[in-house]
Amino acid sequence: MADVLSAEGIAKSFGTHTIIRDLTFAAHEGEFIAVVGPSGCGKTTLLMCIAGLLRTDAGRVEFEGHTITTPPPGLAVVFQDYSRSLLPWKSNMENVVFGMKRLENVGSKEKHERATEILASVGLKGFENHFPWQVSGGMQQRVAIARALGANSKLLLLDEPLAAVDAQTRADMQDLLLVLAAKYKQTCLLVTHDVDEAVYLADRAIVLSHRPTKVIEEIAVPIPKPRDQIATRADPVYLELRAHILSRIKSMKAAAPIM
Amino acid sequence: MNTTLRRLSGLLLFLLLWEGVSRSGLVLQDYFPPVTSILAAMAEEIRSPKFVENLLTTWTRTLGGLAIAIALGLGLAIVSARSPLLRRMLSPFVDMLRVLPPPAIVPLSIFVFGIGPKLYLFIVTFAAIWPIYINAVNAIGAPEPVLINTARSMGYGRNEILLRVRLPAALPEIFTGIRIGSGLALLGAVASEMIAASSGLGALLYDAGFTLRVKDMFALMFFIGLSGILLNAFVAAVRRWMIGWHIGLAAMGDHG
Repeated sequence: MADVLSAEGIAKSFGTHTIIRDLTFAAHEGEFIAVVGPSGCGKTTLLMCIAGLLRTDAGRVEFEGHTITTPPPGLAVVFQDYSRSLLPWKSNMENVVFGMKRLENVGSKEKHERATEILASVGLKGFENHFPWQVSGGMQQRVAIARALGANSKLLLLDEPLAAVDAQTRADMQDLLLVLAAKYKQTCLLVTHDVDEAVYLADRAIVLSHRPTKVIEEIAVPIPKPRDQIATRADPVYLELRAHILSRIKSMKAAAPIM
Repeated sequence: MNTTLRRLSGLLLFLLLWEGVSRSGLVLQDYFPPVTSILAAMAEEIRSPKFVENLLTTWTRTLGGLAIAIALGLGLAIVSARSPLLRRMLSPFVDMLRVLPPPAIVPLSIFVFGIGPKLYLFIVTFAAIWPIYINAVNAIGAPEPVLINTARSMGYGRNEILLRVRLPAALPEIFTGIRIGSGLALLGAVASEMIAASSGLGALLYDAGFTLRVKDMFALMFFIGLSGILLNAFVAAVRRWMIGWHIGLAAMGDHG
């Protein structure tokens, strides 16, 4: 399978603080990658660099064979803070249409039809004309996901998208993400501090070190899809990988000088 | 409805007290006429076409100057938000000019504009522009980073983000500035009319005061106060119309 995304030796510092040092990994087409690491390890900085929202100091990020310096088309970001990433003066529908900036040859009517269809596929049929702040947190994040898909993305960057929703909603949203990733043929890069979520969703997990961050382990998650909240979480492979990653992170915490 | 009544009850009580004190003989009625006689004077004035003309003159000056202040203030804020250097360069001027009372610039303005419509518009604009500019430049200059990053990742450029994201996101604060500015606009109009005009409520007030027509003077003060209330209600209505989303959002308690 071709690499949709590759990061080669990227490094990023803010002043004297080195956040990322020499980080390398690749994502294949259609793959769901979860990036986990100890808290404060620079996961979000990494994601911003990949999205082209931050310039790296060294190394390079390639998306579909082109080096990323500015946010490229075909790559969409879903942020943790959905209430601040949606435009509160636009309806859910208009928020999704707003994300279609790069679909230049598509008319307004067609954009609205497409938005209606995608909103339905994230389970928001009937909420098109609501404002984001009129619907629950989980629904707001669904709007943000719909907006990302509406932009004809191939690569979804998910920055702890479910960290702010309640546990019940989170399980539903995890399953929705898997369904959408398959339906819209997305390559997904999920950044999370939740090891259970990482193993549940991913085809491959990338474990990061403390700052300055680098990859310390890449682990394939050979659990067949579709996954199931009850069966998968009882699967011995799931339990073993979860325990393994947790212990890696825990040992890093113990080794960390101050944290 | 109930809250309106409660809000008015304070005012009604005050007017009642006024009436009582004035009629009790504790104060000189000549200088402190009862409310009822002031209301009678107001009723008489509002029937006079000449008075109505003066009232409309003041309103026109206020709204005209306010409109210019909004256009200039927002324009300047957008340009400043685009250029931090310009914003820093403007900052000491803004800090100096915004504390200058509008009447203080009347003499100089007369040299420049002469006595006429341009003078009053200039004073009103000068009075109203600072809170509008300052609120706008602060709000446009401090956008929500997540919102900006979202728009950037979608392919929006700097100017598009400024006009389609930062400006609408700043509208609630901009309206706060316009609300403060509208009060100052009325102040500027009346003050400039008192010093340098023969028309408008300010000129009539000045005339009434210095010819000892005390009831008329009070009546004019009431009319100016009422104009302020109407102006405020007008701005509030435009605000509701333009940023209903913000009012709804605030009522939801921010995060829904």
